[in-house]
Amino acid sequence: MIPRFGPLLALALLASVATGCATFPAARPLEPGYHEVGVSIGGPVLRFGDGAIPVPNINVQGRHGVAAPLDRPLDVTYGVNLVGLPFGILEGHVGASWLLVHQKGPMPALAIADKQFFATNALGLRNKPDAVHQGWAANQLELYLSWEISSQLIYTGLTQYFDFGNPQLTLTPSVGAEFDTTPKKPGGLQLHLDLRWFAMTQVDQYDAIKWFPRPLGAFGFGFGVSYVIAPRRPATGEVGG
Amino acid sequence: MNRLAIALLAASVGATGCLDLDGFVFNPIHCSTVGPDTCEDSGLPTWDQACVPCEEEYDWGRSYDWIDGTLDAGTPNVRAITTDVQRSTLTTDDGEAELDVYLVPSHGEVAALADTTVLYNHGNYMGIEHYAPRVRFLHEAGYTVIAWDYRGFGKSTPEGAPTTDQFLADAHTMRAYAESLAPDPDRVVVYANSLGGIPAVEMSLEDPPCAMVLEAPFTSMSRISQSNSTVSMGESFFSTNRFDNIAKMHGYSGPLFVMVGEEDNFFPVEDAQEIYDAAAGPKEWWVVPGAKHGISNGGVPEAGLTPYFDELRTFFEQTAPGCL
Repeated sequence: MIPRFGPLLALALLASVATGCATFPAARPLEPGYHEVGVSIGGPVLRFGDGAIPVPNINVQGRHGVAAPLDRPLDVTYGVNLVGLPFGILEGHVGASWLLVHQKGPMPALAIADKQFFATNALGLRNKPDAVHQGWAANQLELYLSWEISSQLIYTGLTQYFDFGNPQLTLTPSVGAEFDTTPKKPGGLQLHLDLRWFAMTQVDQYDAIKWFPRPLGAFGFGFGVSYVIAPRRPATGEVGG
Repeated sequence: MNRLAIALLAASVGATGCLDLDGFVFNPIHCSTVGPDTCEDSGLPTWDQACVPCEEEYDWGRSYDWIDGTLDAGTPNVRAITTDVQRSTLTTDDGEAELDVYLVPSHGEVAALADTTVLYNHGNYMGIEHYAPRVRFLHEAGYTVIAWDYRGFGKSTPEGAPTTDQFLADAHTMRAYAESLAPDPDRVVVYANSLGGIPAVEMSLEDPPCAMVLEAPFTSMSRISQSNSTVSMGESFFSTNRFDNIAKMHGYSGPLFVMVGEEDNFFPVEDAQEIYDAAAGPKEWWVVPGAKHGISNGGVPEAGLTPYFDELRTFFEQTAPGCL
């Protein structure tokens, strides 16, 4: 089968810029005083010729634990997608996640997260005389169940991505893990692996861009590296008063 | 090392925003690259094989195993083109390209159509060799047909897809040339299949032809994106805005016929309808039952030549009589 519009791979790339692909999941909000910076790569899997490739979205992100209302940690997150930049698209997100239920033994923790995505094409206008300035926004609401075992985290989640210009039911289940490379110390290098089924409630019926698998949504793959900075331990005598 | 890093950073900032997706819509095969890998060894269906090198002429009488449903009692066969096909070369306005052009005279058996010329703007794959069956169909119906290859497609030079500016400029050049070739320059129908909708709309805006016929037309980058990913980013996120056929159709006031396959697998019916709705002039709309997008999977003509011929002629008779 000839990929007649196969060269539209780049279109798929840009389209997926907007889907929140490869942003860090928020299964466990950071405790107050913790900070995390990192980069992640990945996205929905695209059929291309006889094979399939994950769209290589790249996000640079940060997270900060800011509070613990009701003794449950709340963090804020933000990030920028690098893939759109060569096309003049600046796309970023801000969001927050909150731990609703602490883990109790085998009972998982439950967290809720919301991210707001924004994009503008302003960076590319000088090279496109007939183009006009446009903006775009979407919301991503997520719920995660997670289990921490010996400082390693596994999670499963459900995401609804809501494009304000074209609202659809785009339920996206996910599973993943966060590996702490220094489990005996707070903070340190973290590795992230995330597998999800993007928009499994959407039928993929057109061939300009062929997602994998068909006919529902697209499988997704994400990998990330981050560094968590733990708060400096209070010295003896600093607490209290 | 620091200076190198600064230079790289400056270069990356300078490059920011330079890219767009307009160039990604093309999928040409140039005759200079034709060989066994694109033909008998390609593993592709006969329809999709590129087999004619630059030095050979196209076979306008080639035998095809027509796709089921193409032929019917009203049109039991598609004749070989035996009229004198006139090949010519059109030098583009910038002098950098030579476009391969074919004038296929009418067989003359349908007097009312013989002087109506269909200027055929083909889709995004390969070149005229791929669309020769479509030219044969229009010839069978009785029209005069002019077909041309875009830069880098088929035998048009140079090899390599055109830029946005070149593609659109060549459309205007080709329209004027077609009117010089046609038996009656006032009866030139601008016809488009798929990607051909871009040059067809471009060449028709300022000076509407007697009619424009859009078959499974290209819509816009943003519509393609939204149909295929649900993402609603606007046209200027992806493109220079010069391929936005939906927007451009607001400036077209001539007669219009839009045909789209009910099962079109590239441009959904509802997207094609946006093009139709945007046009202000007299217009007709036909959703073709069972039809998909391309040739090899059964597009609009392959869903049945008799209804295809009938619908076209009825459109000309009732909505665009100036073409007859």
